[in-house]
Amino acid sequence: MVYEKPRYRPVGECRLLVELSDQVELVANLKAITLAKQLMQVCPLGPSGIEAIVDLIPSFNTVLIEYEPTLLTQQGLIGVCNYAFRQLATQSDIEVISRLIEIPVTYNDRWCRACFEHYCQTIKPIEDNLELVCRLNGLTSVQALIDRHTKTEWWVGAVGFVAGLPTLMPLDTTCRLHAPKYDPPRTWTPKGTIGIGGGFTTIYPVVIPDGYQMVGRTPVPIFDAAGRLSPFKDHPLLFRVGDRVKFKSISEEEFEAIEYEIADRRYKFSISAPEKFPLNRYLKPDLLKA
Amino acid sequence: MIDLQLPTANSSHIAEVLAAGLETTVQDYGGRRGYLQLGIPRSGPMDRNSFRLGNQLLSNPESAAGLEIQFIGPTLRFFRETVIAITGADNNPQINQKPIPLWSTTLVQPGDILSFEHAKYGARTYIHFAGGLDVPVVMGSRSTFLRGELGGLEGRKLAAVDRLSTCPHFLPIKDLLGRSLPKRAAPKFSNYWEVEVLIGPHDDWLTAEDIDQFLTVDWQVSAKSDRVGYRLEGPSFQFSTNAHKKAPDNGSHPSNKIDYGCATGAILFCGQTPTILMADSPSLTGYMTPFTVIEASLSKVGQARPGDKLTFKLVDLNTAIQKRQVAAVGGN
Repeated sequence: MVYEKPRYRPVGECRLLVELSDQVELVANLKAITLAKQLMQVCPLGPSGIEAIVDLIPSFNTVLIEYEPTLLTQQGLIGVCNYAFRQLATQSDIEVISRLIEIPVTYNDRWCRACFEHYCQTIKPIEDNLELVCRLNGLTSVQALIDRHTKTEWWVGAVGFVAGLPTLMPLDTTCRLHAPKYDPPRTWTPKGTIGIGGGFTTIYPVVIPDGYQMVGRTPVPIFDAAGRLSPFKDHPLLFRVGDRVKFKSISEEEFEAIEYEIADRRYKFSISAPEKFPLNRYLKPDLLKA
Repeated sequence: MIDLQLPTANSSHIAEVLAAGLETTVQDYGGRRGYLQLGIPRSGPMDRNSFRLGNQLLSNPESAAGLEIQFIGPTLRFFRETVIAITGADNNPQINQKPIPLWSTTLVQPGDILSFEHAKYGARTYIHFAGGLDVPVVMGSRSTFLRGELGGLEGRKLAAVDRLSTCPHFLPIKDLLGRSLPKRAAPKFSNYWEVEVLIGPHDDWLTAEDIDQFLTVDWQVSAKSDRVGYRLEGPSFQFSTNAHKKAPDNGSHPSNKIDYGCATGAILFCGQTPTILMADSPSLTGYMTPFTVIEASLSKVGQARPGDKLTFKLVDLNTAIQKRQVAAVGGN
């Protein structure tokens, strides 16, 4: 449940963790995203023109605030947060700006299989990742897993860890997929891997060690610091919190064709225009049909 | 296909890399601020204190970039006359195999070769150049973020045959010579470091005995420590009822927590392994954080070597803010 009042947890002398709930729920996430946005508006500049609030990381049930303690005291910041939170509580609906982004995926691809085999040979033998996810979620075939993964829109609840990695939760909760993480973690994961861990899905922006089960790979870059491709001209990341992702199953041949298009800068990203995503629409989906 | 023709030195090149060292990267003092929301960490030098002193010796701007050496230094050959300063861990720097002092300015001539041996104390040494290194500014900084492949020299560590360029320096070379830091002003190096921490954000997930234990034992720095984080070896913890009885969304282990924003200085408990997040920290974590290293103590952690001992001392918020201010204006 979302708390009546936020819980404030200081993190060192220049950060504050604002906790809004003790579980993963879309309401808390929307409040965290909105609170972060409001704080940026309420408190963008300090008296000397230097930012009093330096950075904000909204996540599922928290917002981490980095601030400049010489411009804004911890107590002062808590006061600002209380004010912003009270404003949120009186709103009849919460809406965030959201875009729908299509991500093509080759499921059960050869690159993740090679990484899996390398792990089995060098660390320890483990169960095939897709078979494990199917078994734990009552799915009888890899195709059934693909159907479930591509059926729902996935909500970008948090962006970060490293270089814009999104943590996605299914908006259609019947499509949730559970899986444990690798233990011990892998030492590397192919760039573009689609991973499932806990109840979440992620996309690896760069080659990193980690432990989500690997189910497929996308040729589409989600991080481009140099701004080479059009969606990255003004922003190094493809995803913002509050965006939605729809996965589309493609073959390995289509994967390679898209890779060529990306290398030639011809690939057309499928990104909808930003629109308002109101919480009420999600909570009462029947209203949409009426 | 092997292209044996090496690029020739143009006038902007100050030096070339003959050997790269273990992990030599371009860093600047400020690093990136405000990009954690994109998963981009502050980066910058692991020992910001030593780094800043190097720029001061050369009258460089505070934002001037230098090289961070980790354990094994590079070998550089200079093309032009310039002035350099070496700070941080003493790894016996040499010009043409003759020792040069740390915490001082040194004149180098075309053809001179700068090399290093191994440091006995401390993990990182800095090479500063008059004017600072000239690499593109990415998101407000020249610092290298290796995992994100951005900043510094093409987002990577130095490699043999790389060429380095510097920004213009405004004081003539003769005015930069003969400068050195008074001995008492240089940071002290050891294999035993006292690190100051603030309690929180998740100390309510430990028992009172756990908290006492963390603050009293000597922690050993693990070999699995780098610019992302330092793992510590020591005793195990019980964790409090809050950590054992929590919403299942948090995960199964007592140390697991719903992913939340984190940054440099946080001491995560990854299972039973305390891990201090450092300059290239991730921006989200699923592990609880019972303590946070104060800003002014981060430089000490950045100099700790695998096998070194760390102890933690609890301070209060006002002390942490005061020490941060003192560090920002050049104290120790």
